[in-house]
Amino acid sequence: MKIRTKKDYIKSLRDQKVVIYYNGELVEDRTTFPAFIPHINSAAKTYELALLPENEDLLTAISNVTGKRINRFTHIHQSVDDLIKKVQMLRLIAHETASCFQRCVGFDALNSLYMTTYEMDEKHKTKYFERFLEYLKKIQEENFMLVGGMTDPKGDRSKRPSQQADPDLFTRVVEKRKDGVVVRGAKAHQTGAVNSHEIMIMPTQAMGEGDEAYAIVAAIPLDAKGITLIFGRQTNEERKFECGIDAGNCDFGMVGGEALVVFEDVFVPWERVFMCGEIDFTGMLVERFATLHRQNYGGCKGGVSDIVIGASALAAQYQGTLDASHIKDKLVEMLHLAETVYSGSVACSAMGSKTKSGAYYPDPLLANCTKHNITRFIYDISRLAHDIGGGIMATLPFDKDLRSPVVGKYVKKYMKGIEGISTETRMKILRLLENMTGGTALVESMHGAGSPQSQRIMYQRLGKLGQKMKMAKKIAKIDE
Amino acid sequence: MSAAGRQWPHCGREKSDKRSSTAIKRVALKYCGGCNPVFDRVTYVEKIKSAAGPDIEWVTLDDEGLDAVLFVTGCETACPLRSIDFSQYKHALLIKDDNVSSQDLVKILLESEETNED
Repeated sequence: MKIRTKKDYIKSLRDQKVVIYYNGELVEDRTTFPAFIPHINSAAKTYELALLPENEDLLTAISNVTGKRINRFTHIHQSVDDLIKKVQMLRLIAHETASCFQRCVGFDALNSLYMTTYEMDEKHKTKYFERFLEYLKKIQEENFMLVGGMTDPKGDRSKRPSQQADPDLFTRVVEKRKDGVVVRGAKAHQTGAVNSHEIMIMPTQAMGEGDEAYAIVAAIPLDAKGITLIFGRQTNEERKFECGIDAGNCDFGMVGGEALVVFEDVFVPWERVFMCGEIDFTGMLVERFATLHRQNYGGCKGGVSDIVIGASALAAQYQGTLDASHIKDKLVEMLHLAETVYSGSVACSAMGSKTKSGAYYPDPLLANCTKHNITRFIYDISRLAHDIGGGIMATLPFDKDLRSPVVGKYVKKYMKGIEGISTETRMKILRLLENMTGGTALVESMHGAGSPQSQRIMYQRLGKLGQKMKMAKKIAKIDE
Repeated sequence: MSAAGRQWPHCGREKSDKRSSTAIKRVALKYCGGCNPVFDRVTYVEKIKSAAGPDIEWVTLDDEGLDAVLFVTGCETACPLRSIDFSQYKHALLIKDDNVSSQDLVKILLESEETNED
């Protein structure tokens, strides 16, 4: 495991020169760029915590491939216990960062590919699994951070990839060579891309006949020739440059830091290609990746919600309302919602099963329910946080006003809450709440790991409606 | 009664060769993963280590020649129970809260062998 510490991680990012654009400008050093530092700090926690004895049971695992102790984010789930530990780990890290730490997407890509390449080989007599194992060993040994590159831009959603006016709107193979393939297209909303080492591109949806060029899975270093990253604008992102109270969580940010990753005729050698044209396995791969990713959300969002709940209680305390019955009731409701989403993640893990490859897989219906609850409950939790925090959360003066030699005395005087708590302390907690419960952070809860409609489609497929109708008829004594 | 006091008699204590009670004990420390602990496990362990001073040499489960094992778990679930066979350890102490004083806990760890001779 070559990357062990935060220092190792940052050095590895600095050593790898990736082309990244931020607000129209090329970023010279991604490790010192203020807009990326919180995301780096957050991802670095996945390395730092793995070194602590009090967290090693969750942050590390024994590799089924090499027998060595590895970072859990590179592990293939070998049991239901592993599935549960994944969820526990996510909640734990969220308590440290109060933000997305980005490594789960690559983790889920590895697991979904492990089980799918195995079954692909079984049917097509290909050699993808063997090839993938070699790649997995490298990832585990180096402890690389991997982007899970699934989402294509998709253009006109009513048309299949091969029917698009611009064929590049879905990532595709434009040339097959003796030594590899050439890839063109883009992956959108790529969490953690600017501070990762490699990207695993995967098909964005089930592909049909005629879409074979779009059935491509490949691992590509982010410094490969032809790759350009364009960072996504976030709510309040200019506050990161101030490094003050107004950023809310200046050390770790509010979301994962998403980027558009463009592939302009990128060459990938065959040893890094794990699907090429097998359209019959694209649906399986997408469903497995989605399920593994949806499994996560009650863990990480549950953990982030714990911070929102704590901050809401502190905001109430600082303004003297903590003992009011309606505030207590709202905090109880928030606790209920947070534990409900966590329960979903634990439940789909507990009901997980063994795949042909030996890797374990969460219950897909329950995993989809978990993510679907996130699209609702995080909004509910945020709404209650706004209710408790009050309008002041949205109208507070600037941090610089607080420190102004002219108006600072007014901010201190009129923004004060209860005695014994400074205005600055009150502002810190209100800003934390403001930043965690609005804008990009909320939209991420809606669409990260798939929009709610994609979960509803899964209910139709997995919900056994026919069986439920039969049960109802039996109870009602209906024979026809 | 504390969690520590409850767990100790159920953790595979067996008779062992008599040793001097003043000898330094090798105690393996094993935490649960700490997903959502109900107490600060690390602070509690620091207090225990401080109370033990030089009387206990703290090692890990991978080490040999253990006199006892202290499992520090953050809640009633006690996740290590899912994957670790406690019966393999002669003296295993499982704690799920910080209700026992660090001094009392050290006393239990250090006096384990005298108790075994009863």
